[in-house]
Amino acid sequence: MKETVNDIFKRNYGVFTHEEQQQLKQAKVTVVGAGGVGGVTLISLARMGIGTIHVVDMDHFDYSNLNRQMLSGISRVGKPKAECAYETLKDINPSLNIEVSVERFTQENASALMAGADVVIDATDNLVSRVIIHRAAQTAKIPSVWIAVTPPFRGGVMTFSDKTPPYELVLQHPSYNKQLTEDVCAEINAIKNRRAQHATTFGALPDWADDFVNGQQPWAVIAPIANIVGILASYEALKVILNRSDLAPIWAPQLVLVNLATPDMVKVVTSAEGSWDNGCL
Amino acid sequence: MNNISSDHFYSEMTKKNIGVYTLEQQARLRQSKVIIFGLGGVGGLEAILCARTGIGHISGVDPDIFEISNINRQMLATTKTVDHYKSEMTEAHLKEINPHLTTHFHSVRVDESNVLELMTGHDLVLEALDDMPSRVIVHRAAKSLGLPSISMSGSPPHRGFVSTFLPEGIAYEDALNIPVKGKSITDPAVSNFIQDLKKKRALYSVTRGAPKEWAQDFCAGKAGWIITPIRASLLASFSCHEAIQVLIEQPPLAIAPKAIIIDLDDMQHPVSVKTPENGYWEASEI
Repeated sequence: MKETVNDIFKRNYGVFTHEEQQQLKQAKVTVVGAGGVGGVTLISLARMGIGTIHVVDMDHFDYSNLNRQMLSGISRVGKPKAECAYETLKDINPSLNIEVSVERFTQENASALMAGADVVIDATDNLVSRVIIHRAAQTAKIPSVWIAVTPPFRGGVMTFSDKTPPYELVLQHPSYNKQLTEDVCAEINAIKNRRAQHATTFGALPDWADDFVNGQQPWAVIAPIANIVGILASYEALKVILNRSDLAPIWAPQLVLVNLATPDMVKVVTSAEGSWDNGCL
Repeated sequence: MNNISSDHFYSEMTKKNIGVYTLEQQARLRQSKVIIFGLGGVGGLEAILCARTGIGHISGVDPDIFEISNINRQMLATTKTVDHYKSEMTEAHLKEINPHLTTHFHSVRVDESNVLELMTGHDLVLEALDDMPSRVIVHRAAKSLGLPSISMSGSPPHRGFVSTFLPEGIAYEDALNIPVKGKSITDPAVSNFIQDLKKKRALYSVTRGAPKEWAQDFCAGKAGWIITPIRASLLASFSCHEAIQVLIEQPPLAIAPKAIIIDLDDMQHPVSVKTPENGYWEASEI
């Protein structure tokens, strides 16, 4: 018998039950960032059968995205990432509901962008936006997934909720409980320079780290790491939505730590003090 | 696109790799030629990741067309590519990533008669096939040509296996305890033995959380292998990382019989490199 669009998710059964597949169809996920991690996360969510996806990204594709961003292509250079995501996701599942916002995630639009979401995935590279996302999500009692990608072969994933400690305490941010003034934002952004320098102790090239701190080089990310972290982020969203008793999300301050240069390539770790230095992740 | 040179495009495209790879390593990847057998959930993404990483030549082999039930996990399966050859769709997509890439894509099934011709001239083999006899054919051929080959295997619910075979190292059949060494795959006794392995893997998967009814249906030929985007994508990403390490002459972590073992239901160590206790794995348990 000829397959129909109802067969798109046929091969999921056995991993998901029919009821769970229906649960995924009823679910809504907001993904902030449609780049290296966000792009593959979006594709993964659509292929699992999530029913409604809200894509938020203000950027346009550039040639330097091609090395890892699953939604990028040469014919898309110069086009808004969120609109390209719409095209690709509709081709995967024509009955998917997709909302597109070509804008930055700010304190002003946060609640509108997260409205109705069962889970929010933070796949932005802007550290201030990330603070805004997780603050807003916790206030709205919506679980939020955090990710990191760090050269050479490292990454991290963890999930926050209104029952976990707040993002800024778990990641030892100086901004906790403060207004996001210019000075506070500068302090937050400085964390990334520290992370670049620290990455050299794991094998990132020292010249790259110096150039990054001086603003002469972009953050280095390779395709396998962006993909692994993006897929693991979609898995966190899946676990939040399925809510199985034997398949819990990795709730912060527990952390999924990726390092392809060590035999423990992906492991779940806990912190004795209950927090992590974001400059060392 | 028309007004930038091939060198300029390449350096823009791979700019964010630098810091992880050196410029010399990146240049090496640009000179590298890989061939991928199987362009489904794992192989299709391997092709994409290889192209995005900046590998200069990619060949692919797959006789199939995209079907609707591929869409849940195959990166190039969409409602628009259904009914088209996987090899043709993959090749077109890779050119959309890097128009200067050279490619050779073949809509044929790999067998003992064509494998050497397909494989000759490449630096590395990525194997992403779903049937055991073809896997054995590919890894045997790679070893005979002195080429490294990356193997993979995936089982429900979220288990996976990736291992790197080097020409001077252990043979695929020895590492997976498949006692057909030296015999032709066309020998019916041999192909039946290897085919049966997949049924054993289905039944073993039940002990690791897969539904019993599914395994019974699979063994009766009434159900397909269960596979979701999560597992296929992880297998492709780890396989590609191993491949890149080999190509830039950095030590891969999972030289056979060591293997990258994925089990997302393991809440402490979802992915780790393991060494088999007896020096080999049981093919029915990976």
